[in-house]
Amino acid sequence: MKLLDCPDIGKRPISEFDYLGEIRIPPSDADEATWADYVFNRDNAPGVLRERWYHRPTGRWFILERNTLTDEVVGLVDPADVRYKEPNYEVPA
Amino acid sequence: MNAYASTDMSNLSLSVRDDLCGYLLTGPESASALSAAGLPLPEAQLSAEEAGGALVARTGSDEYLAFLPKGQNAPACAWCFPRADRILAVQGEGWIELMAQLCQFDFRKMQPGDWLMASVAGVNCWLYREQSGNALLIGFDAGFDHYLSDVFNTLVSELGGKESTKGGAL
Repeated sequence: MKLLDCPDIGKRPISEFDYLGEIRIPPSDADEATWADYVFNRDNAPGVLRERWYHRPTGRWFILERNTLTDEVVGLVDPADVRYKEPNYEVPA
Repeated sequence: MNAYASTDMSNLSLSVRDDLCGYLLTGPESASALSAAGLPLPEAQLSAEEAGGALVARTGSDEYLAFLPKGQNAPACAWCFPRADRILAVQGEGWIELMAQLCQFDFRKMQPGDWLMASVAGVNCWLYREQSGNALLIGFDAGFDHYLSDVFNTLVSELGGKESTKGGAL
């Protein structure tokens, strides 16, 4: 059984979680090439990633820092730290 | 070595707690509504307190689950919603072995008064170990009642216990 060691609720079976992927800040006011790079490309290099996890029984969202090389959770991130201002999109006429 | 080899399973029993009505309270007025109703107010998140036959669990910064005896008025709060939880109670020395077959949590750590939200037989459940009587309460969405009741009844029978009802439904 694989466990996820959540700094908030402790060790829980990985089957109780949904993985929502790496947190990435979208570029604002960027050209198309930058946006294409953001949408389609990933570094995919081992290291510490900030990832969203959802624990279904408690209904809680977590932002965890996880070392993808060692599969070790190294920290809990405050959502305020990954908040970003959404760009003002103009709807074309 | 099986840590539970010497456990006496003959007194394991399963009952339905349909004498409790559940409510979800959320929003900034939830704590004051509980206090005004004379209900306990757990301090820590993911903890629970019981008093006067009522059980209140804190599931978020301003979110609570309250289970009150039937007939007791719901807390007066605009954001107080009735829930339709099915609540089972497991009692007896073999409850840890029973739960070990259904949930990956280590129930040897669970003390009276502890609150837990975990997956039981694949269903999201809340679990509370009563202070008195030491029954383990297992609450879940009533839509899973047929499945989970069947699973629990089968396991209790296999482990040598007996099924019973409490609350006068039958």
